Amino acid sequence: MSPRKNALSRRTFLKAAAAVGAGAAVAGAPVRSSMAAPSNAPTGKITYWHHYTSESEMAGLKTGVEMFEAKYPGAKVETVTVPNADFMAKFTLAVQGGGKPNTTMVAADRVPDMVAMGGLVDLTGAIARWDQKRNFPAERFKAASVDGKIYGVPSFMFVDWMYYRVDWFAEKGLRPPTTFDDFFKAAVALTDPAKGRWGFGMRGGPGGQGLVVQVIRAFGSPIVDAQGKGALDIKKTTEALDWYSSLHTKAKAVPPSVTNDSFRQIMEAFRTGKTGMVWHHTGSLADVQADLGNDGKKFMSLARPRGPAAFINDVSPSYNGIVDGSNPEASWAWLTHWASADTQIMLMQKTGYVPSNASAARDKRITGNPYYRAAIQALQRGTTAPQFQGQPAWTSKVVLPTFQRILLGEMTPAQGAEEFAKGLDKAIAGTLA
Amino acid sequence: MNMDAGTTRSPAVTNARRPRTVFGWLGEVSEGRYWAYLLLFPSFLLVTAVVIYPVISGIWLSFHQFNIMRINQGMRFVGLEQYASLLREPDFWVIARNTAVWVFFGSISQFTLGLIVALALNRKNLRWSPIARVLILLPWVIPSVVAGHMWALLLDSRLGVVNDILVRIGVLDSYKAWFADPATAMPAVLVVDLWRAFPFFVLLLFAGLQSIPEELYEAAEMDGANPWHKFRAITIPMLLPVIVASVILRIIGLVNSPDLMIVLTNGGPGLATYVLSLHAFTTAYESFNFGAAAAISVLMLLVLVVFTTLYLKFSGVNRE
Amino acid sequence: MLTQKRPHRQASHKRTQAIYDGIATLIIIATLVFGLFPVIWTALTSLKSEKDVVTDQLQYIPRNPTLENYSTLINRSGYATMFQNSGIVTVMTVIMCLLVGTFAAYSISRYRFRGRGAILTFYLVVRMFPVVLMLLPLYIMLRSLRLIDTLFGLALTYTTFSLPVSLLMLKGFFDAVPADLEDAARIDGTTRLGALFRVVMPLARSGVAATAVLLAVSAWNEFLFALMMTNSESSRTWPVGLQLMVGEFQLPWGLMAAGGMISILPIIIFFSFAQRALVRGLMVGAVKG
Repeated sequence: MSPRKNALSRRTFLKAAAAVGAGAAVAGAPVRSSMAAPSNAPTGKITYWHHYTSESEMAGLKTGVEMFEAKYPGAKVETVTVPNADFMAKFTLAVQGGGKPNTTMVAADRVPDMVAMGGLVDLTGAIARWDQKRNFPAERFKAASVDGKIYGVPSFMFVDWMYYRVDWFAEKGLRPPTTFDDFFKAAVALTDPAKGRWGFGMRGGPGGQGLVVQVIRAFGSPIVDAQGKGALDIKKTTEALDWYSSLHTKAKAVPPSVTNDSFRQIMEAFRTGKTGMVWHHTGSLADVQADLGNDGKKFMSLARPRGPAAFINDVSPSYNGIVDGSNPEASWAWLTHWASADTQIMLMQKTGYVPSNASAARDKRITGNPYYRAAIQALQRGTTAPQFQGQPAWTSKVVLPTFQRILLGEMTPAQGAEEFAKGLDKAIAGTLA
Repeated sequence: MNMDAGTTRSPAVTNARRPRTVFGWLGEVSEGRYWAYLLLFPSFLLVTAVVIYPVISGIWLSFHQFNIMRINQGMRFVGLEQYASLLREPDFWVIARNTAVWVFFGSISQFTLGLIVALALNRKNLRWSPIARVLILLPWVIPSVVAGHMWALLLDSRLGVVNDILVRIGVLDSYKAWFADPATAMPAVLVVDLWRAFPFFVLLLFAGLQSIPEELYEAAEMDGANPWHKFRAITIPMLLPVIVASVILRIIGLVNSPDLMIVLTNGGPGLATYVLSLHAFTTAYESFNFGAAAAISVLMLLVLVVFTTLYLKFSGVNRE
Repeated sequence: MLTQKRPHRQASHKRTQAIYDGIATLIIIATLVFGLFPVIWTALTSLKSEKDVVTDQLQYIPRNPTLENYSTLINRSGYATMFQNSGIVTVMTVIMCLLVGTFAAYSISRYRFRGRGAILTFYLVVRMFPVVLMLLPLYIMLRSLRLIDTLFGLALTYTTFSLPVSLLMLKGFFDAVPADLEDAARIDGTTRLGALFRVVMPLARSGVAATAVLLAVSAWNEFLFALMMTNSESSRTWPVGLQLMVGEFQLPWGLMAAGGMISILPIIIFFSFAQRALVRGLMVGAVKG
């Protein structure tokens, strides 16, 4: 964030809020144009906002804090849990109204929005001089970059993959699918409503929007062009929507509850043996193993199938960033702590999240585990989701409800594609209601 | 009727002309000309201080193009353009109609059940009604997070006990995904909200029934009034202020709180349960389009203000 | 009453009363089934382990009942603090709201002055304006008053937002108290303030108690403001803690159900106190006859 932009945004905001004596409240600590790698020993207390939820994630965070405070005896970290769904609302209040945390967890798809509102400190200089940088391939920083500046240090990775029922496939004499065609055929073959079995646990409820966009990309349509303008190819988008929705509308290979099936429902359906395949990321492995065993007899993990035009299997790092630069030493130390191999392996053991640090990813505890084979492959040839300002708004307010209407037969895939394109332009312009 | 029990308790009041205590002094003040306004002062101060500014800034914002994620674009005055573009959107009318359905059926069903139960609880001969009164309140006391998720579980298409019971008694052939079908999603959410909110009416209407003097009924009985007459001539008129107040509050609650939708359907499937409050929330905190969110909010406010004014007028509660 | 004069009528009267009581009983039982079944299911779920909830063999009675969910919950750090914080905020809100609300409601109920209706609507606007847009300005204001992340700041917010509720409800209950009772007391030399506290309040007692319960429940369960206006553990309230525990992605059914059951308790205790006040209110009513 440049100081000019910061001053400007503050002034505009003050005008916007017609602040009643709130000027003092809005003034945050002045931010240097680009943070240099701090040299002093980290001391003092810093705050950290995150949206971890599960018991295992919390345990990982707690251990991470203890490791940090043992490494830097003068420093303390106060963690604040913010529910993921309300994260941006609370973050907006803190950035615009004052009371920013020192550091925060940064989900990749929120980077453009968080940078645009002046919520993240530019870390380019510090990262350039960082001795651990060599352990991170350049593309690890891609999702944290805006206009050539880097705003986050990678922590763990979200690595997409799918699960399938080994035993069901064996029953039907099928091989694990590697293409969309195979996938469709398998989903149909595995479906047997009389037995309460459906081939594919499609996520048509909240959270399913990202998968719809992946299918569109797999059919070869770009989402935005190099200038950041909406660039959906209507014909390819229509084909993609037609293929994906017909798993339900024509083939009836997904549970009839699809339009209300969110993460909880798709995982519960797979874990209780109602669905044969499900798309998710590595974070759910521990849960599935608890129900279906870890001997590879009932289920296995697999890379996503290849689409007609492209192989899409997204990997995206979760980042940590600095919001309030008032204690740069401790904040930077905290960010790099979560990038170190030790911390990342600890987190993987507690939660299942894959490390972003290349030296950690070569660790035997990962490479020796057959369930992680698909994840390691993905790390090498995985794709990154397109990022642009307004992306979260577009996917949740346009893509999801529109796709649901296609599933319900209220709209044709072609009409849906038009809606997608219209909504995309508005979302990018910031005028989406 | 004697009020001695009340008046003799405090010498400060009987001797109010000699103000010795704070209460006595206030008693003195209460005889002054501006007493009615003085009573209003604390609440007026609080409401004005906290609310005036957000409401005015919200109305002002609704005439601007302002996206909080694009602060460098600043605020652009666009007049009524936000409203115009909202009203042009066909989806907006779907959402507005959903809101009308949600508020209308929600308030009617909750009020009706609440009134019936309050009348039943008010039977003097039912000795166990105090216990029932506490138990009936429970749905409303459970935090909405838990209530929402528990209903999602009760009606779940795989784990749901309601489906299991309906299949067992032969109403359904197989488990139904209530929230996935546009025909059943809104009714299902309405049933959940009926469950959650009818105790609100029971609590208030019962308290209102309790304060109706018994003598009125006795006098009516002497005149040979039947129960329906008594209900029409005594219960309803005496209860009217409480009915009006509770219905207004509930309608405002229904219009403004999207929390059940957020947990159960997120507005889906498609737009089947999308309501204006959810639209305002997602427009502000997903699209970050504060200008449009302000316009939606102001429209909701306008409709509510008009409705409340008319309702207060026609219910005759404020009749001088 | 009617007794000696019309024995025949009394017998038929008794019979009709019995029929009405029967209908009332049926209504109450049916409502209890509808109202309590989800609560009972929550209680049963709180005694199950995750494996017994997420299963294709639906269990009505937990096969392996366990108190593990409760012990996990209670052992969570910060649980006691959050409960205490919620309690403090609730009590502060109820007291402030009843006090300020009583004055305002009495004024609007009893005095005829210009703009009465307008003032009522004005107060209601607080409640009508969608919270979404209130959040940011309110946050800035509380911050400039250094009330962000404090229990008092939260209670002040709740008081403002609940004020229309207490005002409107109390006005309704005050309206129902006949004005001639007050006039009688005034003739006896009671001041207007005295009349409010010695005449109107006792008669409207059941209404005041119901309003207090209403305020307490909404303050105890409020989530959005609590999340936005507090950060530190020392001021986080129970609903926020509960929501965080429930999480978004992983839904620990048993734990969540246990959380729901635990959060009912304080409100029930509060309600039984309020109920006692309510019953006393009835006794005052009985004495007057």
